[in-house]
Amino acid sequence: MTSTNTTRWLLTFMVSLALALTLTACGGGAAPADDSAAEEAADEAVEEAPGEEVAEENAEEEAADEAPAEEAAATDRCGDPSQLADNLNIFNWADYMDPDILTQFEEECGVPVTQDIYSSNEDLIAKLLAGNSGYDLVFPSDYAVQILISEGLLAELDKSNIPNIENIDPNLMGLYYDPDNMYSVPFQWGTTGLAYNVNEFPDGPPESWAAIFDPDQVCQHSGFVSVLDDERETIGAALLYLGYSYNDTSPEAHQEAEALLKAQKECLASYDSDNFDDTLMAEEIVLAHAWSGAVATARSENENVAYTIPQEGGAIWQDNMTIPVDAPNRYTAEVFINYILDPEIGAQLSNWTYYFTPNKASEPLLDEYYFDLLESGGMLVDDDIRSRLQWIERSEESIIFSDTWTAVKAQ
Amino acid sequence: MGKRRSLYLSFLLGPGAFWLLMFFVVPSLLVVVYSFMERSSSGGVIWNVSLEAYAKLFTFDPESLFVNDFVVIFLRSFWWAVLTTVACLLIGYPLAFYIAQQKPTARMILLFMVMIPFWTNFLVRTYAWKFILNNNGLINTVLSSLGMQRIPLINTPTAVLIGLVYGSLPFMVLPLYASIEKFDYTLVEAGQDLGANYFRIFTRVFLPLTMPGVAAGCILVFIPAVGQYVVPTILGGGKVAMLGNILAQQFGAALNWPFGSAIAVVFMILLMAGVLIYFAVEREEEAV
Repeated sequence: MTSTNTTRWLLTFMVSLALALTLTACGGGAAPADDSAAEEAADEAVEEAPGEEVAEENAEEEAADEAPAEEAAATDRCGDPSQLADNLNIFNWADYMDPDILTQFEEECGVPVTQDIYSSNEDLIAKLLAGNSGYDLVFPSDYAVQILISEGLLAELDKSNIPNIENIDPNLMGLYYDPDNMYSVPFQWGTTGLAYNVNEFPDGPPESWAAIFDPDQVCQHSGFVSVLDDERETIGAALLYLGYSYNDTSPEAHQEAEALLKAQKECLASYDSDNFDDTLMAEEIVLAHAWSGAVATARSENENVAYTIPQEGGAIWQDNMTIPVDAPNRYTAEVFINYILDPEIGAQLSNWTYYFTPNKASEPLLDEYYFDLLESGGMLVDDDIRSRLQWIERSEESIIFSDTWTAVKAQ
Repeated sequence: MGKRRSLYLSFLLGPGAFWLLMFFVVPSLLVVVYSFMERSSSGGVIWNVSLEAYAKLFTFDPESLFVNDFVVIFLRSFWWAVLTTVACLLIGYPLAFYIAQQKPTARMILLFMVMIPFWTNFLVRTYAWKFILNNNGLINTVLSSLGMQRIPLINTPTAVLIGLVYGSLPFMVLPLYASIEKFDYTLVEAGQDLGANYFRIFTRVFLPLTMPGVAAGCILVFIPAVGQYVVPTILGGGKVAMLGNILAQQFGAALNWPFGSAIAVVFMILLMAGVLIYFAVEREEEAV
């Protein structure tokens, strides 16, 4: 029994170690702002894995064509190097930035970029509202830009540092959420619709949102269906199916939508905004409420994955580059925005994300494969489709979306 | 004399009291105060006293037998935490007993094996379970290659429970081991001398003396399990909400801090009541 004391000592040590580790696992994460809960830790874990793999895949092909251009243009693309910070922290959606672009920016301008991931505009808003997020650049969608501006959370951009802003399609500038683009510069745009596996839908794409909202239809694929974990998108699509607008805030409409979403729930696999490209690719999911570019990413690996905008319509959105008002490295962020708006970088970005570029000068530089993939997969937007798409808008009443969503998630 | 004594006491108690005040009392009060404020549509609170949050929490629809969604979440979280605790106890007790019976070196190795998973982040281990339980994951691949029907595991309550038990088990095993290891085996001989069979020795001697370990293990497992966030998110597909999920949602995306605070307050009161009842019963038993 002489070892008892040693054992006990060791045990105490181990238990404290264990507790310490668990606490770090729950509270820590690597975000620059350290008020994070397990939620962000979860998001970060999602971020890490796909990011690295993809970096390897795309590295060779694209680095090759970039190399000569890089050296020639190096200095103009970095602004005034003496004013650049030592690092840049960006907060972005999952799978939304070609990791090569970050590497190139670091090589060219000497500023390493750290990226964290969020999965909904509401998460981003909550993070910025808390203050001191430590991020220099964030990518809110249209209606979220409007909210962030009204809360005074965005910094006015110094356009003299962003000369490439001229490259942007004038039709995509001055949209309702920031009429003079004082705070935001378009990053990518896309649509929200339905992704499906052609083997499960041999008669062609699902024509109506009923495929995912009608309990009988969705339960035919029970356990293989996901919808976005996003209060505006998911309730919006349900409202659309019920014959209301994406932005309807009337209590009756929301009651109906709530009942519909609750009924759908038992046949869903998950609420998922950041992983559905992987699950579609792996055929873990055969029907998903999804964003166009991520579906194209899945299709680039698995041709059975396709996309459609149902008859009732879908959402159109534009994500933007904006700088939080308390960003530590504002100038560097503006230089980075300008870098992204470079014609070649813009094309490289959309060739990787498979979303649409707002950059007119980048359009001619997009790969042929990009258009083939989007055309065959049903992601391209023609006039007929465009007429059925709605912007998500925010009003004083749109808080009802949070309440409906809480009720759905609580069930 | 009395004055010096109180000065001396406040010197001794000061740091501890300060610590408790800053890290326990103030944050808890803040939560309570927030729960009585009005929500601001953009997060945070409006400094007007309001019972809005509690009204929402306690709005019942008579048709559904006075059970609303939040009551369901409370019950579900408690029920799952109870299941997790029981499962951990049933697995952990024999395991801890087995480890305690080994030679010291073997004991160390076995304890070490219980500990090693902690060296990997809990999230990563939970994701690993996702790959095991997926529709095309390890279990289903094996089943289908044996010509058997695939079973839906991922995004079901079963998956969440597996994840909860897996994550909590060491917290049960370690305190149990600590109390079993201290057990004096001459008491078993005494029991035998007095004619008790093994079952009786276990229930009358062994179990009561290792009860502190059982209690510590149960509390260490139960309380974190009730508020779990990561496991239901990853293994439950964000579909089966537990308290942690609804809390995270209110403070995050839904931007309804008063409501989140109200849930937290009710949750704290229930847990505290539970623990107090436990101690009261304990004291009564000791008195007998």
